[in-house]
Amino acid sequence: MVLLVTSDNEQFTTEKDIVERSVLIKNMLEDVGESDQPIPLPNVSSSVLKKVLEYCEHHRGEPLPTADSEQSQDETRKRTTDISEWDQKFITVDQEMLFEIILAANYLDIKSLLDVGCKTVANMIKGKTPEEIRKLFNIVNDFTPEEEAQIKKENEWAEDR
Amino acid sequence: MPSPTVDTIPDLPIEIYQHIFRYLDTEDLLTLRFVCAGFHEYAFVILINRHRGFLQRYIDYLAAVAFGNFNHDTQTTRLGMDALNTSIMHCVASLGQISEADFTVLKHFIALSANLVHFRFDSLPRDEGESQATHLHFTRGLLLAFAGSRSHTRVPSILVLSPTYGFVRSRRRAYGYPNMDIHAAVDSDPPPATEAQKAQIKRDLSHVIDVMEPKSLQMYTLELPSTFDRHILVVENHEDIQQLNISTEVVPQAMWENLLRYMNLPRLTAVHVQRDLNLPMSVLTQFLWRHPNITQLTLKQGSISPPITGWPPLEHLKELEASLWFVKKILVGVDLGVLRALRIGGAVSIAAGEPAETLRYEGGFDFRILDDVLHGLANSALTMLEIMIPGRSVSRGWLWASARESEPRLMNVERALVYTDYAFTLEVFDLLKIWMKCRFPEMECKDMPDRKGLVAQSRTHMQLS
Repeated sequence: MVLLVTSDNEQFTTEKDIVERSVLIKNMLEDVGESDQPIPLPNVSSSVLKKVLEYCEHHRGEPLPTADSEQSQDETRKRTTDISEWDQKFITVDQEMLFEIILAANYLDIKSLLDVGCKTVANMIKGKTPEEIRKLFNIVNDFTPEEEAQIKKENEWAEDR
Repeated sequence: MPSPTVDTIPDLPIEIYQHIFRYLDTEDLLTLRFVCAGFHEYAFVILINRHRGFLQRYIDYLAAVAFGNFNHDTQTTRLGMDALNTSIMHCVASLGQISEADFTVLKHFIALSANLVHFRFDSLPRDEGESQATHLHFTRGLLLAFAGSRSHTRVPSILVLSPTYGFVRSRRRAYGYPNMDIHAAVDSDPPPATEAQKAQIKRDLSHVIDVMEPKSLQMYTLELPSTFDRHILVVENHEDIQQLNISTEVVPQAMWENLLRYMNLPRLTAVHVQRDLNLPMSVLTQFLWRHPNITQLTLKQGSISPPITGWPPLEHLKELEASLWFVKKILVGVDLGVLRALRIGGAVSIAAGEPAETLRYEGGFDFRILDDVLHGLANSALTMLEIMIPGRSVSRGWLWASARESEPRLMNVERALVYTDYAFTLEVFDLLKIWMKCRFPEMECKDMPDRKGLVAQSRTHMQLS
């Protein structure tokens, strides 16, 4: 069993093969060897870690992606909506949790979870106008009218690609 | 309606943006450019990387509009390019402030820019939190882009050699390169190498480069961050290197391919390519174009890879050793009034795409090419000629046809050697004697043991030897 301590000082005890879906934790365990020492995760809160462990438990035993198995960018793009039913249900959370999960997956180095999170955000962006995207993510338009005009001009060269 | 709980999406790290945006189509990326400055930049990087045509069109657009200061980043002025008429010729970038987007655009821009004659980038004092690796990444990337651009023939000496890594210039000082100033890429001078390191480096280097009479081989090692897992070797006196021995004994072929693309050794006079390599010819010819003053060229490489690009005019070449096919190609640009020694090897040298008739002869040795070469040398100043030709009956037809012809006579040759890798048959050997007598009537001809070949020497040469 492995003991994890979150940023809000909550402790989680979990099985090794579950938590080893995180490359970061896997490497840490290999470095310290057999030990009862808790592993601190200062960048992950308890609510997020709970979700991450839920994901890892569901996918326990599945082969970890290797560099060789990674698809090319083009192939990856085609699979934008290719999220399994369980993953889709799992990632149906509010935006704050979605980005927290993405950040945690990035920090813990869980590639498959990072992919699920990023694909979800990409799907949210797809087909929307700039204004809709701003509204969706509460983004402030920081362009001046002149800068916007410049981008419009610049995009002209891209039209006939 | 509940307000979103996330303040702003741009708080995510860059790599996550890039990860998300990679899943998007071009149309969506173009849309993202209007959302905010952050999205604009990250989307732009992916667009440029995904569609090379974008960049070309973008540059065309920039060249077409009248602008004095190019600034594709809408937040701050990070990158300036001056345009003169329709060609961008001067480019200045500040590495201390350069962003990944700037870097990507600049790198592609430089690589495509045919008219770029001045390129300078300054590495400003590092910002807090900016890693040394980032600086090296930018420095190296831009140098490579510039060196690999069509301006490459003007690339001055930017050389750091390592048996295990490419190059990066690390000393804190500006170099007086004709068109490149490199300020510190790292913020401190590397410590001088220890004696043990020097010995190790010399030992390794001896396989890479034969340094002839180095006046002072000063070496520095630089401990780099983990992304660079080895010491970088800085050869201070690379300007003194005169001889380059290219072999895979220590340096793998792929590394040579990289090194040769960018190396510039201003005093280089001799290049020896060993048999264990199979360099793309364009790499070698590109390298030779930058070193037109070499006087010795040995090319033992047996095969060549298409496309075969033009050989540079090597007007100072005095000694040439190569297989027959290469000799024919190289001699076109050689001053035959300067060439003194020629060794024609019999190694196979058939390029893919060459006419099929070259395959008719065993070992790919085309005697018609040999005829061409020898005719071309008739009025040369050549004093030493060696020909390694296939033995046994392979040479019979050619010797039979040409042995009694009196032309071409190579009048200035003082020593000629024709030999084979195994013994000639008796009949072929007799024909060879006749051939030698016709070509070099004034010379003394001697048999080599076991009918391996014939040596002809002028009396003067014999006396001298």
